[in-house]
Amino acid sequence: MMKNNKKMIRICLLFVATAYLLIGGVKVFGDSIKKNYGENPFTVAESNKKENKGENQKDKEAVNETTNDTESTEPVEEENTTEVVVEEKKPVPVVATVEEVQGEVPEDFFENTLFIGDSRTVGLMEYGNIQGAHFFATSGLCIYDLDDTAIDIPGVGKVTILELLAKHNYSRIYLMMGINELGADIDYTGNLYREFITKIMELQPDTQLVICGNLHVTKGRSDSDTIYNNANIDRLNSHLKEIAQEKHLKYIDSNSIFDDETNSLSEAYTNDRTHPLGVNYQRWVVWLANYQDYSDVE
Amino acid sequence: MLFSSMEFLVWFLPCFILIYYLLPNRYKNLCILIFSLVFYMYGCISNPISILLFAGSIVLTFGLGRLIEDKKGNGKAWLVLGILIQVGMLFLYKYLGFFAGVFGKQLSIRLLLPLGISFYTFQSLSYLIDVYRGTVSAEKSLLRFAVYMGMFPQVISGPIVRYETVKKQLSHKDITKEGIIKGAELFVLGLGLKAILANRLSGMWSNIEAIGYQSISTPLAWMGIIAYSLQLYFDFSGYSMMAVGLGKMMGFKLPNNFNYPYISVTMTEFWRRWHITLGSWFKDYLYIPLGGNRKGVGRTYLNLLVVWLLTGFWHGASWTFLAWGLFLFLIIANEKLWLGKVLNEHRAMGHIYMIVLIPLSWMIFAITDINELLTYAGRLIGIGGVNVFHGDWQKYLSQFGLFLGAGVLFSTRIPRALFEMIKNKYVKGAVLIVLFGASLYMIYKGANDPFMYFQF
Repeated sequence: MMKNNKKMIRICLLFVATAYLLIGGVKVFGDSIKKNYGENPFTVAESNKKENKGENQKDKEAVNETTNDTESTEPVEEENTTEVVVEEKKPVPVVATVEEVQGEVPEDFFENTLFIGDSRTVGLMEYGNIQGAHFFATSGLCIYDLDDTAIDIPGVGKVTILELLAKHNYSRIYLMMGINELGADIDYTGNLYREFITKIMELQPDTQLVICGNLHVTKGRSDSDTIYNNANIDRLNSHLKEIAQEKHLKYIDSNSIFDDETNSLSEAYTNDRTHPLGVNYQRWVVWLANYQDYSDVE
Repeated sequence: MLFSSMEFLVWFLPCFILIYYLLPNRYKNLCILIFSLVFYMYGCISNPISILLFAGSIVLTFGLGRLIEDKKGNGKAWLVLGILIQVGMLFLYKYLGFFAGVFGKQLSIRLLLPLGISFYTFQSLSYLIDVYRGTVSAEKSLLRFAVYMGMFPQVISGPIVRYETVKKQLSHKDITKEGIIKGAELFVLGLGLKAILANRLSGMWSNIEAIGYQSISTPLAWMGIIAYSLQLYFDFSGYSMMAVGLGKMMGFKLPNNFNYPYISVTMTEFWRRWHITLGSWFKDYLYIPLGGNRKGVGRTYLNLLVVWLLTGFWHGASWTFLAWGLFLFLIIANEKLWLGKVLNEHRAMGHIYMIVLIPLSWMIFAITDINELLTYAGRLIGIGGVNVFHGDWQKYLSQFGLFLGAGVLFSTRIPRALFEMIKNKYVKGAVLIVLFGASLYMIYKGANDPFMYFQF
């Protein structure tokens, strides 16, 4: 009797485990196929697929899957956690001593200016050599927890954005945010930005508020990322542009100096497919200072 | 599939453990094979031809092993055939592109590297050579052989397992309660090293890459290669530890791949503690057949050079990997000549010597473009900076300092020794559960937010 009971329990457990294996397997493999081959596995072009894999290898742990789910250094070198791909050599980034974006930036151009943004703005702060401006910026800054985010502003203290805007009057404010919220509903996010921009205008009626379109990611990233891709970024940017037009604010889009012919962030300006290299922030600053018309928008 | 992923920890492993332990012994090998197949297929889902190549390699090696042993025809001919095919496949998929480039050409088709090929090729070669030498007798069962080659703990990233190590367990699994517990312990410890330490530390190198090597300050440049050294170590050794732990839970005694390499006082000692199964493979199947140190001084150094160039090249098909191999050779040869004896006697000096050399050697390993490598090297000594943010190292120190410190601590025997001192099994269990939970959490967060360590 006992032996039969034990056997029954064993068989039941085996059955449960096998069921879990099969059901889980369908989900796990289904997700992986979708990720690697797109929604309809039979229509994705061969070359596209292979290119994606090549790009994916570069994001080790950053990407769910292999690669060490890690950033870029992943290739076969160690093969510990990443699949290896024989991939083409990436173009070596060029130093931005570029023809079309030139000029000196007047030392006081950014006096009494505030930059509000995420890690791209942090890059601007650290590598843009901008004098006299304040930066309310941190990696991961997003509208959903903006109210609780306090940043240390030199000469002011650790403040939230609303506290800062109440304390200090700026002559110009640049706002570039939104990419961290791409996982959420873009329309809903857009409305939150509308509210936020309205608030800034209330707190600082005399400031010139400049709305900035978010920078693209590279084509390689865009093609393989279901959230952080250029289609979503463009949708978000059109929202922001709409809001700017509604409120008679200036809207600028720095993608014009960073995009390649596919309207994606050019590979030459980035190593991680997402952020400009340190050296490339200079051209951004020059472009902001010398290539914009800051006379009032109608 | 990575061991440190949600799908492995929450789906694959629990299923496997339940089913494996519930099945009677005679079905266990089949169970391992099926699960390993699923594991491998998941890993090569974007390159399905991998599975055919791997299966082909297993069948071929199995067949050749039988042929060599049964002395059908010339045993040596079968061995040579096996070596040619295995090395040929590895060359085709891994090195052809590089050599084409050397002659100014480019491959017109894109060859994706089959999953785990560097490891299973070496494992197959070791088997054929051992059978030929008579060290071990050929496996008669294709199932057992397939389990030897493809079992999921070691199929993708090693350790490189010699057939004689697991021969007995292929037929009689060594499964005991203590073994299972010890195995699970090793697995959780390895998981912690990888999911918590390695993953966190990887953020620093990623950030440095994103900034661009010409724009980092000199202190950050040094911090960067130290962080990379620690990240690489915990990533790889954590993974290897998990492999050994899993093997133990299944009844196999897989070889250790790491033995506290960062406490070495010479580079020679380091490579007996780092990726141990690779080093011993090169020793037994290349260095010794070439004559080792038994054909005179000159020939010894030549043999060493060949071994180190190939060790470098095994890691990747690029000039920088060859350069890295050469770099290691020069250091080791120098130690053999005179420095090694000095450092072994004055260990403090040895530690300082290694603390400088280890990050430098990983720098050569990590940066595969020669121009970028030179740029980075320049930054280490303060030259070639373009648009540098001089406060960068302070920012990264505050973000990563704790993990850097932990990394240094965990490179020593101290944490493990403390852990082993815990006699109370409930306390030990609690520590492991907390570690497992924390690892799972980090992985979960990382899975949902791919930029957790590097947000926009």
